[in-house]
Amino acid sequence: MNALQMLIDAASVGGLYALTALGLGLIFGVIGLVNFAYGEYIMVGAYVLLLTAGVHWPFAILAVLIFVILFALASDWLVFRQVRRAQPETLMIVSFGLSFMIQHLYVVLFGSLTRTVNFLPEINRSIEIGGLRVAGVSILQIAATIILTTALALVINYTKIGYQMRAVSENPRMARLVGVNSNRIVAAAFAISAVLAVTVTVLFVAQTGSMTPFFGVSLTMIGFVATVIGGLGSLPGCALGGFLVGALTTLLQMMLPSHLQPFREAFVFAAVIIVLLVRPQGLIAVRSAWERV
Amino acid sequence: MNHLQIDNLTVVYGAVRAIAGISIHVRQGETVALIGPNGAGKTSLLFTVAGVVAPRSGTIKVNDRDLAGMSAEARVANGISVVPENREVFTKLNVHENLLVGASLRKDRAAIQADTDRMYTLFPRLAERRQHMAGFLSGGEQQMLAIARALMAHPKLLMLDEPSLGLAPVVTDKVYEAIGELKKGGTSILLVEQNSERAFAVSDRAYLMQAGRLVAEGAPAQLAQDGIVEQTLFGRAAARIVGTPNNIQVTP
Ligand SMILES: Nc1ncnc2c1ncn2[C@@H]1O[C@H](COP(=O)(O)OP(=O)(O)OP(=O)(O)O)[C@@H](O)[C@H]1O
Ligand SMILES: [Mg+2]
Repeated sequence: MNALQMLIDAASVGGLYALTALGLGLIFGVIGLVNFAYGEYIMVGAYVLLLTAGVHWPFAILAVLIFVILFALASDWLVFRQVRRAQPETLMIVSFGLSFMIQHLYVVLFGSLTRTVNFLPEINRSIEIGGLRVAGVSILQIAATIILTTALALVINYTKIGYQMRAVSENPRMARLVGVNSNRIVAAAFAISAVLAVTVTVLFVAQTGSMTPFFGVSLTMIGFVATVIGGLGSLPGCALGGFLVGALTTLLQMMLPSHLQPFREAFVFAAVIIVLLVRPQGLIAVRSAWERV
Repeated sequence: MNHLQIDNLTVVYGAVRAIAGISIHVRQGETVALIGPNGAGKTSLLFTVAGVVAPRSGTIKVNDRDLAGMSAEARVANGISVVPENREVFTKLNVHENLLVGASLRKDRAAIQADTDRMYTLFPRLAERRQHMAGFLSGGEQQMLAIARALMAHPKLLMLDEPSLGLAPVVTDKVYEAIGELKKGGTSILLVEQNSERAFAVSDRAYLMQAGRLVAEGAPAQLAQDGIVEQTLFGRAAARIVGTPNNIQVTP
């Protein structure tokens, strides 16, 4: 396999992880919550795709979008808003508990077996670009990453909701004292993170065609690792971390001798530990919860 | 009808009673000074009116409307703004964005633009630094920004918490000039200070508080002459050293 093709593969997997990491990093930046339930937004979206199998794909995606946004907003209203001023550790445990609860609710409803769905199989077809054979989904993943990352950066830096988010992130009490409706701003952050989760869901399901009640968690763990590597709280850091972890995973996949393949994740985590030993603050150090993109 | 009417307010943090049954009021268009030493409960009082600290008991009314249960954002919408102690500008936002956040509740883009221009006229220093991160401003510039940010919400009642704290005298002059302008414009002002001399110069009335209770109330000139201000702020013995009533200049 040639180097360019390898690069495209690495970038597409990295893009998926970068989007996951951005969704986590955004919520962390605004309210200091490490949201493990983020994996459940991804997973719930996949099951909506399962239930809408046969529906024309734009409508299926729309259904996922609406459902996951409402789901994310509900998790904020019903759970996270109740503990808004709690310590970060408390928040993290609460999100862990919520994540666990939803997974097991799913096991009750759908069973724990892998379910398959044939969603948009066309995009897995390879296309030829300048002599390279590339899976359509890889191109989509790279495009989605570039578009969404850019859009997020623009929203945060140049819109009213963006500077209000940065204000709430830095000093929530003062934001309220100048009239920012912080509940609405936080809800907007959850909605945006839900959109990122839906993108990950759609691309992932289209690519693999399968899901389990636990696949959201594994993606979130990787996303979380990416945010830590990149510097938790810095959005560019999150995106970079996602790319690096994705690229590393892909490279290991290709280069490791086959008897070591099953231990690929162990190598990824070893790399993470090394990064953190060398740079405990992450690759991109931030002085506060939010840095300009 | 008073603009702000506080009756029997008590504020408690855990085992600390920060405010113990205070009643004060601010009339329409009046500038009222609230003077007291560290820990008197001044900040607690402002934050309770602003809606980010919950009272244990007592009532707060603005234009006869009871504020109980009203969110901080809604209070801003009802014309109540606070310029907090230590400025609390958003350090990661630039000067212009800080002003825009101050206008969060408003939708009229053109009017907001006109208001930011007005702020830059009022504080030319801010105009020069509009693209700078607020965290890089000097203390005086941050104070001006904090005031300008509050004004972006068009407050009818403005509460300022120790606006001269840590500022050089010339900078304090600038800040007090702005307060004087607001007063002329008819804004009701509740001015918290330890710098009683400065505050008295712009105030119509003053309250002295200590350890959560009112010590005295009256015309600034009267309070200054009684020597009770020094006693409240510094204690009886120190008051004799710090200043006698005679060397305080009061311009009512
Ligand atoms: N969040 C809080 N939790 C616990 N105690 C508090 C809190 N805020 C203030 N206090 C206490 O309440 C009392 C009044 O504090 P407050 O800040 O209102 O006084 P102040 O008059 O503004 O003082 P300063 O001049 O130092 O700003 C003090 O004893 C203070 O320690
Ligand atoms: Mg204070």
